[in-house]
Amino acid sequence: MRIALAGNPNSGKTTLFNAITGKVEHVGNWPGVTVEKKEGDVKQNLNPRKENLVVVDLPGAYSMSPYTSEESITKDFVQNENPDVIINIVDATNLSRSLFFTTQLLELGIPVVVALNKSDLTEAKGIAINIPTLSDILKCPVIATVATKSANNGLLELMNAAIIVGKSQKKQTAPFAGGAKKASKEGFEKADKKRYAFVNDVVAEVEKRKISSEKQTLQDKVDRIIAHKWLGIPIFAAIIYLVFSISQAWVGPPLADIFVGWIDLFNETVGSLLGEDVNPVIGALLLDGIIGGVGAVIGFLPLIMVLFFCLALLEDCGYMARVAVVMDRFFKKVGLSGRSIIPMIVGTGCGIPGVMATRTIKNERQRRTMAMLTTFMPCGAKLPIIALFAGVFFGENSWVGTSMYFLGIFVIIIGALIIRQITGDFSRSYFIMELPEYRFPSIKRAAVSMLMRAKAFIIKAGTIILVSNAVVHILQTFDWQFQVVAETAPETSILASIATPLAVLFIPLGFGLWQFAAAAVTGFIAKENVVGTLAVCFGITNFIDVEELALVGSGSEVSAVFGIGAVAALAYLVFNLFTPPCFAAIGAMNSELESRKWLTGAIAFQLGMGYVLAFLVYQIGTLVSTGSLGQGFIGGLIAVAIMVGFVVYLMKKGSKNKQIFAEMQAVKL
Amino acid sequence: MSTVDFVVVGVIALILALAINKIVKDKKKGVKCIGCDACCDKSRKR
Repeated sequence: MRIALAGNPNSGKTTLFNAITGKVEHVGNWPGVTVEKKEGDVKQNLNPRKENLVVVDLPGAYSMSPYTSEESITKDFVQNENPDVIINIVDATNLSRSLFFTTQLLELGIPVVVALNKSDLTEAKGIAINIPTLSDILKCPVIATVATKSANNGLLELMNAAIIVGKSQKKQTAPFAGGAKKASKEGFEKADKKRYAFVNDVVAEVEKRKISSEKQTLQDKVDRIIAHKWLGIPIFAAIIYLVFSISQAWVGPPLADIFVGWIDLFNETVGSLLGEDVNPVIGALLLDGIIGGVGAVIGFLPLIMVLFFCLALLEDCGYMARVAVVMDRFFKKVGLSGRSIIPMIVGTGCGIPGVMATRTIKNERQRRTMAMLTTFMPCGAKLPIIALFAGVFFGENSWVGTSMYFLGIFVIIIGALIIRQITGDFSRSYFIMELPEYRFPSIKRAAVSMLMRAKAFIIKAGTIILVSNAVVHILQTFDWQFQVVAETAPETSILASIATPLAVLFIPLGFGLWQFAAAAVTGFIAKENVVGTLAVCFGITNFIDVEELALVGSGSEVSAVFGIGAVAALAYLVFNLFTPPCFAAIGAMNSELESRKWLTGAIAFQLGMGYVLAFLVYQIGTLVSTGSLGQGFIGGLIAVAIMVGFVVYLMKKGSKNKQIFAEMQAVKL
Repeated sequence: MSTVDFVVVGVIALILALAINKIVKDKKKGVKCIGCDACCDKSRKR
């Protein structure tokens, strides 16, 4: 039996899906977290008769008339794939909004069971729902559920009801007959109005509210400060700074020190097992290339886990949805809306779901713009690079990570402005977002989210990063005659000869060394590779225990190892964060942009943005710190001028499109 | 090459083979990002 979970966004579908199946799909306390359907088998304790039950979690939808592409997935599934039962998850605290979709589902003829979720919150809000009457009116079972609770949550009753109605194979009868003919826009509007009237009548009959919704709650008062148009930004900055301080300065590094100690111990044990008998080239491949390279990346795991734990707590308590409201004002000015913040928040975990989350944006230009720009937000894979440079060059200073987040937001705003000019599409959309209830964040959910990301990070390190490091090590060990490169002449290696021409381009950015060029290129396979490749190229296997390496302090010793100073290091960090993401994320961009032209433009734009930003950071930073410009200024300036000139040309061309758009709008009116 | 060298080469080859096998398997499954299928469509083909 196939059971579909359908309901409004943020009604708790994925939480219910996880509770029913035992899976750990990502949940978030804001609308639009799920953009793909997921399947799972029902847990044994909820399926005592051991039926063949498969549950499908669908993206949230407000109605059967899809507004965004992820809503289409839901509509297509329930209409075309004939599930045996639909469990309609209804937010018990917001019945009037939820029942519109319910009445549409009931018209499909497929048996429906309504899960009145978040039932534990109704009492606190002074809401009483007459469940038997609601069930009678809707002509389907209605079960009160609390998906977040582990016991007495109503899930067994829900599954039993779903099995009974699914087995009965009785066609679902609809309590509402659909309304007027829908051949025209007016017909649709008339039908929707009738449906709303019906829903309002139902709510009036079954729901009693002790507290008027017009009355200000504590949440409203908190929102007046947190989502305030001026206070909201410094509060957001302070929270992100706090998150980075906890993860990269207070809690993360001590944990990382212990963890890296274990990695070092493992490396030493393997080294002593190999002894002196093994061929040094083969031994180095295992110790420095594979164990050392992977170990250098894995060493950042505790920092990443702490960061993800903090971000998961922020997501769960409902704060992130407020950030969307705070940012809406700025985003609107560049042709986006607060909805664009959702992909950015998702993208802080991984760029791929971030890009996929752009499906929640209806306007095509805005959706494509965000698919192009979302990966500018530092994702989990970029965190080791941030942590490495912040730790080694800036003494674990939390401002580095925080500023990279805000620089990411700033670059997205600038990028959106440029894209709007180039496309000439100045259409605006209005942002309406349901703010979720604040709740005390669940430590369990945050821990699960953190462990899932940690698992993914370890698998990635043990597969793609391991293979990349091994290849980098081999290419660095041999020259083109396949002779082992002398320690005094590493520039004769295959890797150096491939990377050196590229390194020339980076001279105006302050890091014109082949090692940095090679690391930047391997970063396109997976961004963690930047750290792994630097570890292999510079023969450093421990980036965490920097004191042991005597790297922290003046920065001069760091420069001696890396051959660059703090300003160039910052430029390199900026370059890696703001050039195109890994190939997997580029693939996701390709799927969402649905246009080769847009994809090419996106990659070119990201390459240009990374280069220009790194140039500015290095040259201005060098000017400020030394009083003179950095190396290769003239060459870099010419390159930057060409890039900027091309963008200006496209923007001017776009202004002609603006006129065409304006004329099209005039014709429509 | 000594026996120890052969053993070490064997271990390296095994590690790389396992890593590549996992990469290929994930790619065949349609996983977008190796090691993580959190955002992938997880519906079973029927």
